[in-house]
Amino acid sequence: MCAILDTNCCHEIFGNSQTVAGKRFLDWLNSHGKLVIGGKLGSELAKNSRAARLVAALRAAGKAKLVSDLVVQQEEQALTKLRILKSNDAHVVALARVTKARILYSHDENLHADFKNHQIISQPRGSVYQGQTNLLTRDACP
Amino acid sequence: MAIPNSILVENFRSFAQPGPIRLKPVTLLVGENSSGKSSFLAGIKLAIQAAQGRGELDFNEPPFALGAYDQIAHFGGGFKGRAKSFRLGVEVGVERSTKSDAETLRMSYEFKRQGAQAALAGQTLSTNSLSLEIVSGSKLELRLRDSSNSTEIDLTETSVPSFIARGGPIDWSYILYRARIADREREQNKQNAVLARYAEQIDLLVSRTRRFSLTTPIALSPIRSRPLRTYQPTSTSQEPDGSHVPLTLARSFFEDKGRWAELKRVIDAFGSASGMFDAIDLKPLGKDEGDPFQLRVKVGGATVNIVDVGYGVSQVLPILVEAALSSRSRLFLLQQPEVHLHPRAQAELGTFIAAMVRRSRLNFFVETHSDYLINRLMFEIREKRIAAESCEILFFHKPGRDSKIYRISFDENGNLLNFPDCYRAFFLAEERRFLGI
Repeated sequence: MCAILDTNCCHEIFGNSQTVAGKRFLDWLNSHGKLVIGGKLGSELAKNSRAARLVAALRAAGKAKLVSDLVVQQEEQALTKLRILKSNDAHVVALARVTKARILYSHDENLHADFKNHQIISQPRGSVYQGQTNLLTRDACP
Repeated sequence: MAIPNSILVENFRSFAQPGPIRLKPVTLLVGENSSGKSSFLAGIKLAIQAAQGRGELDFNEPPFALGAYDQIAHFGGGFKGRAKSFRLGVEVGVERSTKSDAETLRMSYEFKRQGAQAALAGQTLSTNSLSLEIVSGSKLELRLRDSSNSTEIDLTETSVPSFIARGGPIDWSYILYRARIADREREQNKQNAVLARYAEQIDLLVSRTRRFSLTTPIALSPIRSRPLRTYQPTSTSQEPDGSHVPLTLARSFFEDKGRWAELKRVIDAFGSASGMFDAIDLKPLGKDEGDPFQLRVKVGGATVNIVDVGYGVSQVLPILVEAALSSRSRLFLLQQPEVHLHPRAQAELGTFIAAMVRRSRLNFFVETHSDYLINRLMFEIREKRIAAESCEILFFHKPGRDSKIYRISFDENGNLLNFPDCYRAFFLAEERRFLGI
């Protein structure tokens, strides 16, 4: 399954105070995981120089998938009009919907709620990663 | 002119049986040193030369030096030992005369040991339903197999005409010629009668080979020739190190102003985009075309001799010139085109290759260690300046004795597809090492 990384968790993976969950996530990306990037999230991640550098390496290795910003923006606009989101991160939810990435690594509880809301994200349903190894599977990322 | 759909290598160098490898207009060969990339490029060149039927193959023709039989035939280790033979071949798509869809024609060549060297021992021409095999040695043996009838016929020619005994691939037209002669003389002897009975099938198969003409690949050396301060106009025969290129430029300068202008446009555009130079020019040192001349480049407002700007210009110039002058569908085999180039110029090569594919339908097989070239190509795909399906990465991985080839394709955003877990493992580990994570 593909994953989306929120910027509020970058320090856990790329920072000097890497956490166990962050290392586990990075090890998964290193082996058979995949990250999706696109829309505003891509720009936000790029502001973290360490994240940008490793994401570039992941992309070159095929383990980070770049999605059209325009496609994500269009989905974000459609979502915003529906006014059903608890979070103010429509761009993250949009990215999940266009890529079918269903693992979210974030500390934003409102975003958790949106991600787990089967009316917003389904087929399959979304999951929030907080260190669980069972989520970091080898399933093909579409 | 056409390029093959696929290349076949079997028991060749570090390749046991990788299966047919499909060729795309842009194929990047990546992998660690000694993983088989250059050998594979050599295999492409030799397979096409064999299919073109241009005489005995030279396994040590520059820019490749494959050695003698023991260095070329695959060594399986242990009880497997050295392979008794190796095979090279091509698959070409040809249109059928009566149907609109194309069929695949396979032409393969088997080589065995003859003394210390590798010599042609057999060749096969086949489609899915029909195959014609020649086993050559002191006599010719023909085997015709028809899958619908499951018939195998042995036809032996006891005397080998001298013009086909010289060691090179046998022109299939000779077989067709013999079959047609046999057809006319079928009353004379039993052997001719057998050959005559299958003349039509042989005709069907051999006639396919006339529906295409394989382009001769241009193979450049990994290190191109050093620049000279002054050039003497001598021969312009094509050399793998590109030493003929200044002379090619001089001929254009003196004899064909239009061609010179186009060459200069292509070279200047690359020089400017890559930051290497602003323009190239040629300075005759006499009044006649046979007089010495100099190549000069304009850099930062000053015009200087090509020797005075570093190696990068002279290393990339053969690639630019040969590509600019090539007719459509030409195939380039490039080894490390990025050598001596700053990353900016390496990246610009990626754009140049995409542009040449778009403009002239050229084909590039590029052995490279340059992430900048690869990443720029991914960007060109994303910007729709080259189709994703026109590009592919062949990842060579050699964990033991055998090289394995992984085919990695791209989606419309330039993302990689179908890559193995081990792809770029070193690079990721190195980034983590650098970041301390």
